[in-house]
Amino acid sequence: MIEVPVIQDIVERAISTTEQAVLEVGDCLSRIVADSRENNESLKLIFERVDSGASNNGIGDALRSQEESTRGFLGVLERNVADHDADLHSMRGEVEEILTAGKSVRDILIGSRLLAINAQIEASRLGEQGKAFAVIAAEMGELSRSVAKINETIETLASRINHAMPKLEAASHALVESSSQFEVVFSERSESVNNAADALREFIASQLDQSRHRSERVLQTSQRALSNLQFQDPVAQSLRTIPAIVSGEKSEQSAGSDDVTAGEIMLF
Amino acid sequence: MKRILVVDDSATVRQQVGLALGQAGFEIVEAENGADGADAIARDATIAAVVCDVNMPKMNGIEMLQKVKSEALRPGLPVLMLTTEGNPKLIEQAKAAGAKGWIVKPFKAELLVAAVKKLTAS
Repeated sequence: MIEVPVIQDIVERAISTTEQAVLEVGDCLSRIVADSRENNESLKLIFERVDSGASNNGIGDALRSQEESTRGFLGVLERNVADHDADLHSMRGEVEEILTAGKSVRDILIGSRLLAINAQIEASRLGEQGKAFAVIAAEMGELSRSVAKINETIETLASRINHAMPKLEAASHALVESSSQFEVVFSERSESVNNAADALREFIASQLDQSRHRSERVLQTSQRALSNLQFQDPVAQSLRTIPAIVSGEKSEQSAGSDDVTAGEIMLF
Repeated sequence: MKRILVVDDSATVRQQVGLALGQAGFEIVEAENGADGADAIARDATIAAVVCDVNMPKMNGIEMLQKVKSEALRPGLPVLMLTTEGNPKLIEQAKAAGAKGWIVKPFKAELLVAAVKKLTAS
């Protein structure tokens, strides 16, 4: 027969052991609950950030801004090339005018040379009296040759410019063509980058949502486990009645029919 | 943040109640028996409500209620009894001594929180 104090000691040690274990488990579960809550809040923030990234901020906006800048730059380039083209066209007309003027100058020079030759012939016929006239006629001939040289240089330069014009126009058209091609490629790439960003955002949002649900389940499960730890107190109270029952001081009691049942709440 | 006094000789119950109410945004102070609970009530005027066990050493929950009432330590302070006892006679005694509610363990955390919120609402 085991003595009552021994039973009492065994009961208290059992209660103490379970109490320590339950407190420890309770502490662990409460940490899990707290961490799950914080985790949920973080996931919620990330989810909101990712979900609003397309319209409000982040990568989507940076890409759109980059796209707008590039399109703006291409627009300016296209306008500048068009202006340049118009200038070339106008310059080609002006060069043509120079060449026409050069031709006219050549015609005038032929006339003035003939005039100088005739003047020299007339001066020779006059003999001594025409000497001064002969000097002027010679100077006139020299002047015509000088003007002819200058006119030739101008015509050569104008011709060179005229020959260079198609090259400049071709370069200008090639620039417009490259710019158009770049715009097409850029649009395609921009669209694929935007599509990839959208897909990534959807993927992250879906993963975050699943993660949030899992975290919510961890939270609920931990709270359920936590509430089950309440078994320790009624078990301890029941165990403490054993020594008194064994010694005959107390009889085993059962709940009365009028008793309020577990979990019930009465507010007065 | 409202301060709730939890009076129970069981550390595990104090932990359970503390976690449930703490997660609901209440601040928790603890006492291990009725005598310590009555002292805390007399000492700390910021306590908004008490959750109290019945069977405790030194001074049980109903004795604590009677002391608080007879000495007018905190008139109007809501006290919610949380116990394994479901005996109607005990419930009546507690009610007469000024208890505002009775919950039989094991309790559901959300119901305890709702009851404490209701008692501390005004």
